[in-house]
Amino acid sequence: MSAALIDVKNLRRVFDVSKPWLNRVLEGGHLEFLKAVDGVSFDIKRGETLALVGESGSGKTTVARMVVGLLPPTSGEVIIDGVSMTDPRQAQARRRLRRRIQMIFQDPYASLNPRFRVDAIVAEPIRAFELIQGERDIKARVGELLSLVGLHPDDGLKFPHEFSGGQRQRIAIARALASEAEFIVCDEPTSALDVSVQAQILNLMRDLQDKFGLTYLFISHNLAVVRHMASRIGVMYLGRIVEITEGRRLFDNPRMPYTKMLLGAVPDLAMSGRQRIPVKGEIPNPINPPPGCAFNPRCPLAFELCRRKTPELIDGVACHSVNNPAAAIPA
Amino acid sequence: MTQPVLSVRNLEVEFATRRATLRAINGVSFDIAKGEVLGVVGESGAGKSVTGLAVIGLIDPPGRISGGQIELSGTRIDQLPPEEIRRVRGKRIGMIFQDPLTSLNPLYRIGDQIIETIRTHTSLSESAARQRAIDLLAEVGIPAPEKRIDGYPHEFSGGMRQRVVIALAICAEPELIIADEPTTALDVSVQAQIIALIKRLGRDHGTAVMLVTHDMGVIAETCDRVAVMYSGRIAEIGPVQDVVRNPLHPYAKGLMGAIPTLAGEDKRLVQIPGSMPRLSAIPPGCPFNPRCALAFDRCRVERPEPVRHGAQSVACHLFEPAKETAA
Amino acid sequence: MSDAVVPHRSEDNAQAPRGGAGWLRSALDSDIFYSFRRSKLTMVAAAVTVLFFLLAIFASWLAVQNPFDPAQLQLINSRIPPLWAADGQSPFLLGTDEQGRDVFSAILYGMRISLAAGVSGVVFAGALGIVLGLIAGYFGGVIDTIIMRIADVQLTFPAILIALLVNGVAKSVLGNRLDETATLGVLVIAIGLSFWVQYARTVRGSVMVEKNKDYVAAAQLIGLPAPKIMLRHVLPNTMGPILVIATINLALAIITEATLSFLGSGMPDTMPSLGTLIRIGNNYLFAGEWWIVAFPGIALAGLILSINLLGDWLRDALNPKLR
Repeated sequence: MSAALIDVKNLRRVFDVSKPWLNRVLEGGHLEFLKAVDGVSFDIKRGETLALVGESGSGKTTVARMVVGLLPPTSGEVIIDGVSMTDPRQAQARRRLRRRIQMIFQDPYASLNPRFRVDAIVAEPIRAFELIQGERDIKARVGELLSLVGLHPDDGLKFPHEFSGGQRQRIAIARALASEAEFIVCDEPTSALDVSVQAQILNLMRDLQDKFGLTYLFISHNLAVVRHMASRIGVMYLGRIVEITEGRRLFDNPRMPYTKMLLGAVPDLAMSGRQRIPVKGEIPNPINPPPGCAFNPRCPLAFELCRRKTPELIDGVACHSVNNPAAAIPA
Repeated sequence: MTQPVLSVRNLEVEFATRRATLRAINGVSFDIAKGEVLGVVGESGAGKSVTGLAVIGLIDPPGRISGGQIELSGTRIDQLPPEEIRRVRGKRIGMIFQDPLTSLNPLYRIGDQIIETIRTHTSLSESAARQRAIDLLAEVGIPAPEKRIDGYPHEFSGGMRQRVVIALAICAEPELIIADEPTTALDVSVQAQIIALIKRLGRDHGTAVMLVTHDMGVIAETCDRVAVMYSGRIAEIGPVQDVVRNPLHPYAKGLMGAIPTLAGEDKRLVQIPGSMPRLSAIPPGCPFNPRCALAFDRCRVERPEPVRHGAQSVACHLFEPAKETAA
Repeated sequence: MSDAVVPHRSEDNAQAPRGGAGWLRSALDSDIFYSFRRSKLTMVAAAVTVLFFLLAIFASWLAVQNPFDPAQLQLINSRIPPLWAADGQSPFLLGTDEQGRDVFSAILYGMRISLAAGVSGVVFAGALGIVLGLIAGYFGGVIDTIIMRIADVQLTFPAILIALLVNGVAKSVLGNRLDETATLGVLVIAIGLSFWVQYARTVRGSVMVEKNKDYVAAAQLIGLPAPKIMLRHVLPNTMGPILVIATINLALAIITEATLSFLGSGMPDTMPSLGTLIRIGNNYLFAGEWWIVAFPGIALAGLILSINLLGDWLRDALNPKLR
């Protein structure tokens, strides 16, 4: 397993969504838990882009936050370059590792401090990790980073509100690069942007990957964007990865019924008139998911086992009817 | 030729700010025929939502319609007093917005809201209106409508709420429905269901639909014709197949190439440099000229007027009509 | 509507002149200053407030006597009506009280005391409330529960009751050792302890919004320690509403001090604030010497009104939704 830069093992995260204690006592009701992420495992090789795709409530953003260490997992482990992000004995090593991991956020209007000038925003990681000494050199480096993402070095003197959404996302990318990060988690980096600007940002991210050999974990709800960016794709549904495979294969030959449905639901710009599975039902309430395979109430292939037992991820797909075709007798 | 349901001519909308008067819509003209779905697509600030709001008379001060005219089945509606335009809205024009919660009152049962709207615009009795409301809810695909009619908005999921809003929009049998980003807040799988629903309703009732969205995929799925807006003007308008497969305007071309597709190869996306100008800094001539690779001197001084090119109409100096037709 | 083209503040600001000639020009060009200039009432209120502050600051140059210095008071000059009345005497513009104290001078000096107590009280309440609110909002959990429940309990009492309580405790503990300056200090503490809750709640609310924004996550990612994130990133973004509260609270604090002094548990007669002056004057109202109470009362009302008007305007100007 030496090739994998990131190794995520059986990650779980449970949120307590109960009412406050006093309300529970007075109004009745019991403890309620939301299993946002329920046993997610994957690895990412150096220089690769793994995408996690899913609809709202699938837990993809929670996974992203746990991988970078913004959110402690309930159980499971994230190992980056051999260092565990959770093991308290490796705190020292983790501190050194921190510089190499960065994140790009969804909302470019909330991810930059409105009170800071752009050069202060980009310089903050440089100062925090003491990468460069001396104001003059820091300023030069900030100018260099801004040029790298397609802005002008003089833009450093402005405030975030003077920029458009796309330009702000460029600033966020410059900040991520400022710490000389190798692994960048991108949480829906273009979903707040217009298409023409999205194209600029996606192209920029790919250029930077080629130039610096960056490794990306790319979170998105947009299958077409994921198709464009990722070498491998994991499809998430209600806190689990239901299918994970090499990008082209997923689109040419989806196996899990949910993947098929999701692909069918994407509006068809090419208007090829391709065959599609009609979408049935809606995502169930994640606080109270159906037993067995969470997709079973919407699945055209569901049989008795699906309602009872949660399928394991075997050979890149978690589905009883795919993994155990002999047992599958469509109802 | 039959009369279009909606006819917009040279529409201009201005917003007065303390520094300058900004023109958000600048000379927009289009028609929507009975049973037709017109998509209006564009990026943030292109003016697509403002166009929709202007049609239903919901431009609030400091904004105002400063020119042009809007006709609904032959009668002008852009100069109606507020009381009358309010009657047109709801009765003759139905509205669907991005966030269903803005259209639904959280304190009332959804059935009461639909029944009230029906009874405002028709002479049905209470019980007949209730039956009609149940039929409408069934038509927009809400399971067990006779039970769900007594539910409150918060008891519905996002997709179901949007269905209720659609039922509310069609309950007075309007001639025109304006849908502003109706699927943007929804997940892909739900979005597909809502798109199919809007398409079916337009077809079954012969309602004209103006679908405002930023998502070209939704347009391609739903619409008969599409208008591509840029900086408050229509850059190109035509049958959706033609505009998607063979866009003429350099902006529309760039836009189509910039959208990643499922079928797409692993190549770089087409990139339009820069971003749409702010309303306060729209360049003279063609507003797209600073970003256009094909711009020439004329583009920087003279505003291109829409010219027909096959079934499409495009506002670009590259597509000048031949001399003899111009004369 | 994602693309409503209604121009919002940030777009406007983007065109404001920047750099070089600098902040003054951009301040004069800002939306806040524009809304200030458009409201005549606000400009009058601001002018009155500034005037009162200047009068208080330069009291010792403007007053004809130092009303706190018994040596300068002469009983022969007692109970002289205002200058324009039949028995008016120069230099006692607004007349004198029963000790021969010039009412105008007493108002200037009293206003100095009132403003000092109000401003210090607000600063103390603000500092206490901001720190507690920041801690409660950022860390949440048990710390949050403890701080906010204390705040809730305190909210069930009127602020004046807390102030009376603090004042009473201080007086009974310190007794005679309490000189004028120490009394002022006790008043400031009393005011601070009765007004911190509103700051704490507001700051906590803003912090809970701001700390979930991604710029805070970005700061956490580069390993900045929590206190640094709170002070550098979160706190400056919660200051808008605090400014509004502080302005409105300044008026409230001045009233609280005046009330305490009026009730006799505030500033003593030897170093009167506006409230003390009103209490003293109140005794002579029915004897016909109305000026002893009327002018301090008018000064207090004018001060409170103009500060409140400023606060109202500031709240509207900082909240783009109300415009």
